Amino acid sequence: MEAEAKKLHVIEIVFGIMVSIYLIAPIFVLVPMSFGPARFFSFPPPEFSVEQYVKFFHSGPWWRAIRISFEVAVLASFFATVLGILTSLAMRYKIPAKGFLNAMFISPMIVPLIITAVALYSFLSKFHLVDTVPGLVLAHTILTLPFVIITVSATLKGLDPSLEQAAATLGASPLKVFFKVTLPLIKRGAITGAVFAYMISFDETVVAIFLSSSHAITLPKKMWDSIRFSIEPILPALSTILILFAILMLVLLEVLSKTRK
Amino acid sequence: MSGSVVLKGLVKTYPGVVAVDHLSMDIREGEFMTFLGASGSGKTTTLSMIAGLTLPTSGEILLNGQDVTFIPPHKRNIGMVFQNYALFPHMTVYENIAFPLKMHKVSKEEIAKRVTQALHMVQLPQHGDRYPSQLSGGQQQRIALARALSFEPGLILMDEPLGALDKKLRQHMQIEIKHIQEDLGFTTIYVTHDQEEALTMSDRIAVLRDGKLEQLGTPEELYEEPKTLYVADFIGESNIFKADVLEVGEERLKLQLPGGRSFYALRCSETVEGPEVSVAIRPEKFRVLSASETVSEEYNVFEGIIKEVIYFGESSKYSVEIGKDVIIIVKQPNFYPATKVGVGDQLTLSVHWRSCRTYCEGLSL
Repeated sequence: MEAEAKKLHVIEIVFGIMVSIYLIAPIFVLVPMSFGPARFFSFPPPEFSVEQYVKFFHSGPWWRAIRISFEVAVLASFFATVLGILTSLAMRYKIPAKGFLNAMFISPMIVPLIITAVALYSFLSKFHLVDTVPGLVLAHTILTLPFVIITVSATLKGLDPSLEQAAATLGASPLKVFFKVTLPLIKRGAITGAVFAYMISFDETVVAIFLSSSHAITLPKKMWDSIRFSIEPILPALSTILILFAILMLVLLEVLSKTRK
Repeated sequence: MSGSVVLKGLVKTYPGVVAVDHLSMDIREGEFMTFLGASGSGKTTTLSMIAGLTLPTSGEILLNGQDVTFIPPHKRNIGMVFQNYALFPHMTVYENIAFPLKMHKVSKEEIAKRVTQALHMVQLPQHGDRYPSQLSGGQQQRIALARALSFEPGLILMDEPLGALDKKLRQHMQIEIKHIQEDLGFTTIYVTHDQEEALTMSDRIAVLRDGKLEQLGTPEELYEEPKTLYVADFIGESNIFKADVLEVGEERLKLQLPGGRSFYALRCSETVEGPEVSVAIRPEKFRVLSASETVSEEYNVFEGIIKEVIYFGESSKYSVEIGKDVIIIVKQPNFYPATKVGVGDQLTLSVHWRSCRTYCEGLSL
């Protein structure tokens, strides 16, 4: 019996490792490629070189794209978090057509991205917001809002309503109740939602392709352009940096969920 | 510092349900009032309306003579202890107790003084820097009480505060809460479904049923003189059976058991309608008579066969069939030497006619 259980355990582990390899191997192919020469893509790289990294760190347009992506992601995740918290709070009350509203709020997650992109393009062009940072921020706020609503709503569901009632009977005005009791207790959900929003915005390509052309170019859009219009083999180096960044974010999320009291 | 509460025709309806139905009562300064009822009786809804957490559909709530019906909870100055304690998990015990003081803009030094005082009052002076999750249920309960009292609200509402504790601790906390309440003299409205708890702690009890006030009185009044069959059944134990009416006197009725024996009982109401009434007798009001014993006219005598004996330590309960299909429970203390009776034995019982209370309505539960 015990030997059998052990055998099963070994199979489980082997299988788990195989699935992990399947999932991440294609991504990590980029890491050795990034240390190849900066003239052409090749795997495995014929020689070791940090040429790509050097080139990337000296490229003005790439840094500009990173800065714009960062700006857009920070602003979009901030607005999405504020709006998401307010929306989730409102959805706790008995309001008419709640199911319909809920569907509306998460629709950006469900509607095919390309449709949202086309719609946003035609809508924002009316206000001359295409190819601007505010336009991208507006678009990304819409796209990331559902993720904040979902994480914050889940946290709110676990929040005992008597805590807020108790605060009210103890003399706290509704505003004080929110800042002293509700917000601290849903902080984790809000931060998780904000990190998600940030990562999604930073990574978003489809809408960016429609909304940025020459002025406000985000990093994913710039990467897309570079692979389509110029063979610029610093992408593997850039990708490696982004992978490291993504791992950092994952670790951050993990640490956040561990520090639960 | 204690407050008075007046409820005037308080109504709360939810779609399809009347949770509280024209409830009126006066709660006096310094009184320990208990709302007692089964689930769905409206006791918690009423408490919630007094706290300002639920808006009444109609009616008025007066606090110290002032209409507070539409005043939000944070301006009512009422302390509330919740069933699950509702301690803020992200604050230490100290911060929890200091919270209402901060909200009421009490100075820092005064807060430190009052929190220490409150912690001493609930006998947990060393627990200030712990978090609620590090405390036992009983300790959390005390902190919740200390927090509700720290800003000296004058009126404390408690919603089944001991419901989650085990029996021993619950009995201990009942006495502790009662002592604190007597020492500080604040008015208390206490909600429970546990009639024993209500009897132990209260100055007066309001028995609620389907959102209506069934009876309001001291524990003794409710136990000894229940006005309705529901109260007779809900508070303590009662033997309830039907009997035919033979004679209607000014104060008492002459009744007959469905088996033949006649007896006297207290008249229930102005008019006695119908051929039969419900009779309620407390199990401990009976006395077992020895063979040679006789009793005065004031006492009814029943005879019957013991069907079952249940031993409870300090007392025993006997099921006795005193009439056709009329089985009553008789509770007797276990004296020394023990009474040697068992199943199948004949038992002669006496009970004063005033202990036999009659009710015209049937019992529908």
